Amino acid sequence: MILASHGLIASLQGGFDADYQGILTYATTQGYTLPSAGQQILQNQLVLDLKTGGIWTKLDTFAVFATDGNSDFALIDWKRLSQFTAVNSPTFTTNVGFSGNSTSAYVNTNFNPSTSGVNYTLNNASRIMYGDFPSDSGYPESAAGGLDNLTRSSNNNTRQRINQGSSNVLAGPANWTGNNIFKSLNRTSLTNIEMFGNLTQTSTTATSTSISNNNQWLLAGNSAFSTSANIFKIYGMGASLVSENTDLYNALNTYITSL
Amino acid sequence: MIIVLHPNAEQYTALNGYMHNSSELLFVKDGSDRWIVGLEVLSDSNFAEIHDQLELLERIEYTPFPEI
Repeated sequence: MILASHGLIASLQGGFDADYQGILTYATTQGYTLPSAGQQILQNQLVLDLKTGGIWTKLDTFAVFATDGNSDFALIDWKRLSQFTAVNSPTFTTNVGFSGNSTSAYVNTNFNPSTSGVNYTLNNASRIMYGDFPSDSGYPESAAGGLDNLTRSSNNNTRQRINQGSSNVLAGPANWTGNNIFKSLNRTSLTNIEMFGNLTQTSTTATSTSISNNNQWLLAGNSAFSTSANIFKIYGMGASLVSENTDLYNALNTYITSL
Repeated sequence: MIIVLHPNAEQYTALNGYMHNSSELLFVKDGSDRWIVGLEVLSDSNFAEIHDQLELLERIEYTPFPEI
């Protein structure tokens, strides 16, 4: 019923949003398996919702892993029309996303914020993710598997980093774990950081030092690799998205819960 | 105990960096400083072309990194 309604709207508007159509065209050119017709409508709506919320233009990289397209389609960077890379066979589950294997598997976003960041800058930056990040499940993401731009799935942990090198920690911790959760780490100034777990906001500080000159990796950090407990369903990086958080959460949550 | 695949020098050279579609094989170091890759690569259809070579890799016990 909902799909039919969305489909009617798309039909009346004369087709898909140009950027979403560009994603489908890119995938077709690459020979990837496209999502089902119903899911294409949902994904088109996701792009429209991100645009309505003023979010789309602030993202530099964005991928939706939760899809019934194939794993190659799941790894499309919707903003750059290029590919994330599945390194050493992270597990892809249809309509869910990618998870790790504890030993060697990860996803390379192929996005280096130092050389490719446009909206993502030293003191105005965000990393957004939707998925399963339960407590004590390690390091969901980092710059090239190291300590820069690291997040930690552990309650009351201060080792969450965005443009603050490999040693600076947060002045105050945040509970930032859970399953089917939206998380974002936003740097809004030289010192200020705003974290969101769904719609719950935590403000803290950590002085920025530099933008990491490495690709951001998912399912890896601190020289270790995530267990299967960490599951990435959606991921993105761009400018700070604090005032847009409610619209961002609603757009992503609407998509995920519609699958 | 987790079992992983460990290449010798010749196998490392032959397989490291193999790419097909959006998948890539890149050996990583374990906590004992040995090049390894998880068994999941054996069932990855994007690695079908090198499956027989992957099956020849030594199976060893994975050494995790110490928690910091």
